[in-house]
Amino acid sequence: MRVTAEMFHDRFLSNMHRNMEAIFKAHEQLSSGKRVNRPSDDPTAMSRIVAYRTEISAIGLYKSAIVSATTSLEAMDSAFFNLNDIMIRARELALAGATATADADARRMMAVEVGVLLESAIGVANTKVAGRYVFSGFQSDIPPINANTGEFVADRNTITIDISPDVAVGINIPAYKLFSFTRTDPNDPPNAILPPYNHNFDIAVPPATPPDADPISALHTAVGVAEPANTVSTYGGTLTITVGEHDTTPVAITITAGYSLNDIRDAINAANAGVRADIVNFGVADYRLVIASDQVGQSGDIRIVVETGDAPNTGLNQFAYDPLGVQNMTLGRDIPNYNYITDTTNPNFYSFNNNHLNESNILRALHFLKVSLEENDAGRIQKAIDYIGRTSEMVHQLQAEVGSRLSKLDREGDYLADRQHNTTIHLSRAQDADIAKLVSDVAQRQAALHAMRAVTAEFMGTSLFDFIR
Amino acid sequence: MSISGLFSIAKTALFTSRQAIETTAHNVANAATPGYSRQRVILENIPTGAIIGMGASGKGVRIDGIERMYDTFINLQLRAEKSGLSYWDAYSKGFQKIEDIFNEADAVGISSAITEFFGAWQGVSQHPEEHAQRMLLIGKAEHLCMRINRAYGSLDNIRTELFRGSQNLAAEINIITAGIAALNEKIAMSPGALDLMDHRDGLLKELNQKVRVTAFRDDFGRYSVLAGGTPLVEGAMAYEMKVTIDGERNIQFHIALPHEERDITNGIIDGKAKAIIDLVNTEIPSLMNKLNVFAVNLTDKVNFHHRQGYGLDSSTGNNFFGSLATIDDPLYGGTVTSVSIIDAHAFSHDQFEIHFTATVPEDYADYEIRNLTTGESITLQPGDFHLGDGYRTLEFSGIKVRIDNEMTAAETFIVQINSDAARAMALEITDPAMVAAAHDPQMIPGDNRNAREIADLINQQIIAGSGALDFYRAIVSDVGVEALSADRELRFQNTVVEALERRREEISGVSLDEEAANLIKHQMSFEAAAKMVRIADELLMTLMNMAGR
Repeated sequence: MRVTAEMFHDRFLSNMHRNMEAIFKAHEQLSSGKRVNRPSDDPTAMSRIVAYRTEISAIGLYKSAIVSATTSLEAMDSAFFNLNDIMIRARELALAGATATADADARRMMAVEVGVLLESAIGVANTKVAGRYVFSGFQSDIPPINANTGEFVADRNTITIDISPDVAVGINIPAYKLFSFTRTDPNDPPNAILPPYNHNFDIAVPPATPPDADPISALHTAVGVAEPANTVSTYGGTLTITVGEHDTTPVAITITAGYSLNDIRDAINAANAGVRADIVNFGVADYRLVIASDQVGQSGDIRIVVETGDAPNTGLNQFAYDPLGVQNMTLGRDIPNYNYITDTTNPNFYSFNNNHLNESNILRALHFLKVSLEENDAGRIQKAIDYIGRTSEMVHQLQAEVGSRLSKLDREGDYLADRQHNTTIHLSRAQDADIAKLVSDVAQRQAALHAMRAVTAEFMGTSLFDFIR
Repeated sequence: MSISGLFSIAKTALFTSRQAIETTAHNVANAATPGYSRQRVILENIPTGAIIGMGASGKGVRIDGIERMYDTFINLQLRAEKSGLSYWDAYSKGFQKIEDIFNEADAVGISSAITEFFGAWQGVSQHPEEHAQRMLLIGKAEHLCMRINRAYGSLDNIRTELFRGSQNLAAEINIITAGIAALNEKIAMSPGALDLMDHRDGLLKELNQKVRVTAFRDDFGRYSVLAGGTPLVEGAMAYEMKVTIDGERNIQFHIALPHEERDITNGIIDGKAKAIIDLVNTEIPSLMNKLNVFAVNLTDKVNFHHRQGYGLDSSTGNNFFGSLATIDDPLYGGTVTSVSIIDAHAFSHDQFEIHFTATVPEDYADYEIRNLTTGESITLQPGDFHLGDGYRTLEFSGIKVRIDNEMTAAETFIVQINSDAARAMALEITDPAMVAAAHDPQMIPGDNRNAREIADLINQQIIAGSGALDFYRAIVSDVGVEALSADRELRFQNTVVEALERRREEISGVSLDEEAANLIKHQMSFEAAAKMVRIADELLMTLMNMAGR
């Protein structure tokens, strides 16, 4: 093989370039700390790097979502603690107020304290975190409870935020679960939640049934009888009862001639017609038959068709109720003395006046206690103990829900932290330079380059010409 | 043979030695000249003219010729491989620039902009009532638009730059071909002009790096040069090469023949010209196209959801981004609510007319579609039509059109996906209050359902069957793979060329040691010849003296 100096020169140059390039690349990796500095360095790694980095940034966002959700939920948690304390204190007061030794003055003092508790309960309901009312719905800028009326004025939606691609968590609890009354009919008075003692709602048309707090109405006879055991129906006949327009199974109740009000009540209650009959003392020698639907809020839909030989508007005909036909009974919402219902499972058990009462309403329960104390009504104070106990139950339930959401956040936070850690490791593996290896590579290449330079300089500097004299 | 004959022989020796030393000096002088082929004198003894039975020595030495140490085959190969080398060189340089646009090594790439955009929607979903989150979203959305505009603009700039480069390239090619034509003429007149041949070979090699040519020699030693099967140089004639650009900004190479201008774009197979053609006409448009698909679909999907939501100011029906499709939709009847690309390869920026002919029940046969740009009719297949609750979707020519509401008989729509969509992508809303985070205008400000839906788009297959990030990641890895393989090809081609250069050098290269040795040899023979003259002189002197006595 013929070897020329040019060949040495070219070979040296190309090898030197190769070495320099390798050192340059190693240097780039060392100075940036990254193995992949452009897509062509390792296209698949670059693609993975983008994916890992996206994931890490997504995890970062989810983590911040968790932090903000935790802030809201923890605020709610402490709000529930406060509510719980309020309910415990209210229960203590109710117990104290129910004792026979408590006199009217003492009860009035207690009522003042319950009033304070009521105010703080409203304050708690209007808890605000980071500019957001946590017990509101989507309308998070509106205080959920009207402090004057106790009315729940926000919407009932849960704001959900995503805390991981597949997991979302609610960051509010619309207060209707605790403070549940919403006016659905403009005819409802604004103070429906906290009505005065024995307040008479003067409503001509019964409102449509609100979703979970129903004004209780009932039918009552228009004219009272002096004694419930007296004969009412001379000839007897049948009462055909339906509840609601879709009731396709009318129940016919046979009334025998000579039945008293008591007998008729018992016959109706025995027939399971979807209604319940009671005899209520409206006043002196004024006993009325009150018929209410078994299901809350449907009393207005009861239809009673009467077939009897009794004279019109008397006897059995008094019980007819059909707005389109004979309508002798009256639909009333404020029936005196109908509120002392003995059946504790009856939704009307805690009512002042069979109006707007619902077990989960804390404000209502406190108000009930307050008014009962103010009015020195030992019977209702007794009931308030139980009522408060039940509403406290609701607080516990919701607190448990907040707790479960918080633990979900915790779990998800741990999981995300774990994933972030792992993804960071993957990213580092895909992207980070192996410093030790690079340093030793560079050292090796430098040594080779150095040797190459020395030999080339030595060799290329001489030729036969140097020896021609 | 006379003594004076000795003078003659010595004279030939002195002459040839001097010539040989001159050649050596020329070699040494050109030791570093690129493309120089070393020259060698071929010596030959001069035989005696008369035939004598006893045998007689010759009459000295003469130069038979000066030879160029040159291997045609290796040079041919070298030219071809160098052409490949310059192709990969230009191609990989082009991709290095492209790669910089799609570099995701730092956390400031387009992928981060995409993630941050959807992250900002998530932020809005966490705090829909906060002005700051909405401002942040608008900032991130503007950033995303800007990044996509810029990436698209940069690709377009590279394309323009390459077009300018191709004009320079054509000018350079024209200078070289003119040079070859001129040398052809000279070489035909003086066939022994070795250095001119070297020069012409050098030009040919240079030309090959610009554009792969084939050359063959005619009877007069002239080169005919063909590029893409079309003559560039014929004898002393050089035909001009031109570059033009068409409506789609693709470039074409032409050769201006005496009677016609021939397009040789598709005939070019190697060299820098081919690299420019590939980059400008294929690779870069394909990437720009992908960015267009990305911009059109992202815009369409975000707008579709955004229009259904409500802002803090209860505004609704607003586009978030400016629409990248031109829609002509009559006020009555159905409303085109979405035009997206479902096939990144099949779609075009053509204008389509959709005509609805009413029959009951409504089905695919009720739609007449015509491509207004090309004039052809498109027949919808049953599978291309989907009737949903209150809307229908039509799929044709790589795009999908969604029309909401009840159709009116004989209703006609015109839809077109704007060209240069990625350049035009921009934010439409400017007021943070108009960011539609809510589903229900009564539920403002806490209603975050729409924001959550839009934030969730990042997990959905919204860009022609893949997720937004996956689609972009595929672009990055395609560019990376292309740049990497171009670089590998370049390295490989480099070693091939180096090996050939070495083999060429082995034959044609000047070795200084060798030349020094030759120098010594020829010097010695010169000195010896000079001595011969003196000895002849002495011999003559001796004879003279004899006669003088």
